[in-house]
Amino acid sequence: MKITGYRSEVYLMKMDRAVGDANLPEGVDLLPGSILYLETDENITGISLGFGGGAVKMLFPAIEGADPREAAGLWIRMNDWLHKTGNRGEGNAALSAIDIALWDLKAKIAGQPVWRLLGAREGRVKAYASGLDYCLSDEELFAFYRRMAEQGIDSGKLKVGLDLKVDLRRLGLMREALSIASARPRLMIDSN
Amino acid sequence: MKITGVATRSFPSAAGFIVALQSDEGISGVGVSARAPHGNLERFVDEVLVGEDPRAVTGLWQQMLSAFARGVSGSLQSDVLAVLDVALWDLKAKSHDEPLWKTLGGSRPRVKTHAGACPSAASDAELARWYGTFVRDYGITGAKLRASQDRDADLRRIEMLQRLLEAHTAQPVLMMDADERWSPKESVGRMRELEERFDLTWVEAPAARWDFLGHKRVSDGIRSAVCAGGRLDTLGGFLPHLHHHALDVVQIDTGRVGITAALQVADAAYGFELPVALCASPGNLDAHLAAVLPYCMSMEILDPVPVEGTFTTDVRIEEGWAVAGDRPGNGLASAA
Repeated sequence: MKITGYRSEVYLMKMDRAVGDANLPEGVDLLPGSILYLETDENITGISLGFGGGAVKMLFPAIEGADPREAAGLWIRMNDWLHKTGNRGEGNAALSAIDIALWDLKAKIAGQPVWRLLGAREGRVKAYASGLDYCLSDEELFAFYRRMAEQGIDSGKLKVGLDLKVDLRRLGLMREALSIASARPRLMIDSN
Repeated sequence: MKITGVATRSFPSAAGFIVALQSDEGISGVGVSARAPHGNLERFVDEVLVGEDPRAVTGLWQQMLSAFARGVSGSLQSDVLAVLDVALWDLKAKSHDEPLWKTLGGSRPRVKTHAGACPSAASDAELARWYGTFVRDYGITGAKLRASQDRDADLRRIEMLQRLLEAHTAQPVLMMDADERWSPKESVGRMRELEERFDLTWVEAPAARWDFLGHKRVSDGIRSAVCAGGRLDTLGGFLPHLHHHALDVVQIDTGRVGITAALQVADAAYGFELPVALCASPGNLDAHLAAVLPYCMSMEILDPVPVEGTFTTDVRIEEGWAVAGDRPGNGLASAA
């Protein structure tokens, strides 16, 4: 099996609400996104979501024609390929997008979910809610974390960083909202 | 897919045994150990692995470590976990009908090799024969000398080794193995004396295995690299060495840590921007592992061809490189 080509779709997504943090407190409702399809000569396609739009074109020659099962070896090759231009920013985003698509291909070839391929005993991990919530009102904040708690999620990460009194109040709201999932919800803060 | 049991077979004249982890799909995972078989191995497999999906290598490594720490199945050598982990990875690769290097995700299954030290104390003539075989028959361009009590003998033998290797390369790779017999200060003294005349790539085990401060003192005091880690059993043993910048080359023995933990140690070394080296492995199966290590300097070779009647391997040595084949799994098979 060989990698034969790729298709990259780049989007600007309109969200159903604004997302914000200490850097962008008023929030934005337009976010960049992309989908990468890695094509093979056997009608199996690897998919990844992310921000790997631009630099994939520059990086693709490093993997064209290769066996997608060699994901680790190809990572080394792509990392070396990026050495001069640097593997941060767009280069890193493209490398990550391709890497995820390669592991998707590897797992599809094996007929398994990625978690089994990676050697896990079970395919689940503890989750926490992340509101990207700086621009939400107190009521909207509470509603978000309460909705999450209704699904059993007992941990949350609050955006903070500009006003200590406000942050403390909103931490209390998040805790209250999560309290239906656990008597001791886990609280995290992110000051970006 | 489920593990159903295990069978072991001791090697007739050579030390060691072969392990076959059996599954309900008719395929077995093979591992080889250089130690004497351990009485509680079957019981351990029964209590910890039977009924589990063998493809869950990472999860099962955690499970085995946990059980080992709790003393499940009575006394057990930790290297039993390593050989079981190797067998699990063999099963995983076989279940994909792929050679292990492909399952791990590697692109090029080849790694530079160096000759290990002669297993027993030997005369100059015996050493010349030992290293000469590696050079002549396998094109090996690097070799390791184990230090002796006699400083002059070591100087003489390093020179002999250099001459032997120069038959095939303009840049022979010479290593010393202190074998944990020198104190850090002794290591500095002995190595500096050798460094006056020779260019040594590394010294192995120049302090007690846990003595990360000693390793750092040696590294700071000599020109050559300090290579150690081959006597450590777990990732945790390596961490103080990494935190204290005590090693220049991180050495991994899959006979002690298996493949899952070897990958973890290699990731940690990569994070600290250090190269790794591999200790000798049965059938040189580590050539499969080397394919996914971003910076593996060299792999030690003791037996280019396993002893007759023990097992076969699909790793061959060509012009100083170990090259893994395409047989599904790790390439080891019983030769009984």
